Amino acid sequence: MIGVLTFCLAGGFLALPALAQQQVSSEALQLLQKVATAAQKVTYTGVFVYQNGSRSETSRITHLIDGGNELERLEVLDGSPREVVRRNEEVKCFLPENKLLIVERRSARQFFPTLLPGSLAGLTEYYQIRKGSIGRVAGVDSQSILIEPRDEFRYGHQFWVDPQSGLLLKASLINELGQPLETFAFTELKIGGPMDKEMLKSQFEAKEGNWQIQQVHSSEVKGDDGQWIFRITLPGFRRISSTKRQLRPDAPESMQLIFSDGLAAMSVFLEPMAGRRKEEPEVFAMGAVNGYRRQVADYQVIVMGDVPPAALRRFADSLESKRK
Amino acid sequence: MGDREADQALVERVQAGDKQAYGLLVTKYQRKLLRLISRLVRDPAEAEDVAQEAFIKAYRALPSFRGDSAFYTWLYRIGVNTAKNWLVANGRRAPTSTELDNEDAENYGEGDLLRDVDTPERLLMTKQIGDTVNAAMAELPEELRTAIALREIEGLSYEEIAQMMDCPIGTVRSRIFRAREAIAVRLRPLLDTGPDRRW
Amino acid sequence: MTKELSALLDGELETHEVPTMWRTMKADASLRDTWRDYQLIRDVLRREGKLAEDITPGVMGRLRDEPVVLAPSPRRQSDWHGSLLALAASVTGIAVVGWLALAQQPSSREQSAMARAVVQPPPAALAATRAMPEYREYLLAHQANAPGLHLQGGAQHIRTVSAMGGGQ
Repeated sequence: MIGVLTFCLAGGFLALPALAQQQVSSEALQLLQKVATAAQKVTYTGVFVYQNGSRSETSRITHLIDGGNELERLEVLDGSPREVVRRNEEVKCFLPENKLLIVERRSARQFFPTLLPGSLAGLTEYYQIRKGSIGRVAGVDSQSILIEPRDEFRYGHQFWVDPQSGLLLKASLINELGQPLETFAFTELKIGGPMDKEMLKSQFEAKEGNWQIQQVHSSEVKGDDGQWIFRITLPGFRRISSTKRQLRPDAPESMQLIFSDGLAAMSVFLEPMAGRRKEEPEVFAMGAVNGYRRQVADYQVIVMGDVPPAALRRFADSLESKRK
Repeated sequence: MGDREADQALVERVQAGDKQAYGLLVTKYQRKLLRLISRLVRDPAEAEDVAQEAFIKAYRALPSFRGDSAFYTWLYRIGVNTAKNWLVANGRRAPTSTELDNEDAENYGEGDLLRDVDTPERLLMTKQIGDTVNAAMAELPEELRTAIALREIEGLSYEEIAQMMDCPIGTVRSRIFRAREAIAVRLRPLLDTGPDRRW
Repeated sequence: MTKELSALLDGELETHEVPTMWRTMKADASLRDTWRDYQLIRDVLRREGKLAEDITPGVMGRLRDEPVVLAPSPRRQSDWHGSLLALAASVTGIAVVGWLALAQQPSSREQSAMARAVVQPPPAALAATRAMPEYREYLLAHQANAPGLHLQGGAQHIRTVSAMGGGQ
């Protein structure tokens, strides 16, 4: 193996072709693995603060494993009382301000599919992962894990993990300047049961009123009809699912392709224009999620994800329709 | 003690009043920072001034550094801000973060190193240092060359190198040290180590 | 000592040896030269840009007249301070596990969008930052289906609801 070591005088620098770049703390990886499973297996309730930019919101999250069912409720405690309730794969999002309930059924197969041991190790090709310091936090020693991107196509992360339970206590998405784009941090956390199931019911569930219910119908599809080509692929991002879904009653069915490198994810929504007005491409951001909309052939393309805007756009701009 | 922890220990010395310890951090990160700044400030002499300025700003700001991020990540931010401020103060347009971010800027920066307005003396010096290091590398016995290449270019840990070279960690440590000394001996005549260069 | 210095440079020196090393280097200028030489070799091999000048003497010369900086110790206390902690910690059975600077709540979406633009200046040509109801279903579909151990479990939906509401 060492025999392949080449020494290049002419270029003035050395090149080591076949050897993978490995600067990985395997301990950090093991801990990440634990985090990945703990999130689904541990019963807990806690209050956390979510901050992006100067905006911050406090929410309560309750997660219960009950006889093979996974129940979860997220309620925002500041501002308008928005809620997300999940029972296994069914996600309900209550938006009282708009008297709107969006019901989304995600496919079970997709739940953390990339977090299997093999692919987790694959992360190290695109991120440098190492253990950071231990922060003693009000009696809990949490281990920080630093995840720095090796290129400009993704953001960095910093996680603080309770090594005992494997729960993520704090997480930041870090931009190219090392600044947090968003941070999520528990301020209170109680691990383990028993838990009152009432805590997992939405306060809006029983209430009367003329709520508009928007049921999103989706179905898994194989491939993407072979109709689309991305001229450029971002290194490390693989397509992990293709789904057809009706997002809004008044909108045409759209295809959602999800690409992920294991940590960051991008969704590409493809929708027939169906007589809609042509519009200029638009770049937008919703918190730490960046988005970009353009038109290709007779389709509207919306790409969004927690990746840097330049990367998102580069990817979206490379999309072409095979049917000219 | 890992690199980051060692930096942190050094930072804590500075925070405890040991100004000189800061010099070791400057020595360590100067080229990395200069390379970053050169992407924004093209003139080499000006870039060097900005780098100095950034290090001084960082020193002043050091009491507020708490080790949430790696020292270099923190320094990098200060470097970018100092360079942007400098551009604005000199009536030039500060680039957006995308420009700084996108790969074209990176490529442009690389090419820039070769064809910029550096003085012939400095270009010659840069070339001489590069040539000397490479020539010294070429002359190293194979096991020393492999060890230092795996460490410096591939960034492997001693443990990983020991596995690859099938030898004890102590041997790796010693090989890397001997490689460095052999290269440094060749390099030293080129470097100014006069008393005025000491700090 | 140079052998230890070489290991220190690689982050491979035993933890207890590190403070001694820094102290020795403070007293020994030739060790600092060696530090410089080893760093230079590393930077050449790693292609870290321009190599000619060592700016350390210049920086240290300019720092000569600077007051010595001192950081409050004990270290990192300030990371996790705050009455929030104290309050929550007093509640039995609850582990307090995080602290976050609670910035002022913006009174409108536009303000929060602006504030975000200041924190992370999005390139003007690229990003229009505003709350966008026309994209909310997409955001929900994205957050619900995208993988990542980003925010654990359902906490990932905070992005959706956060983008969709709050003080209008």
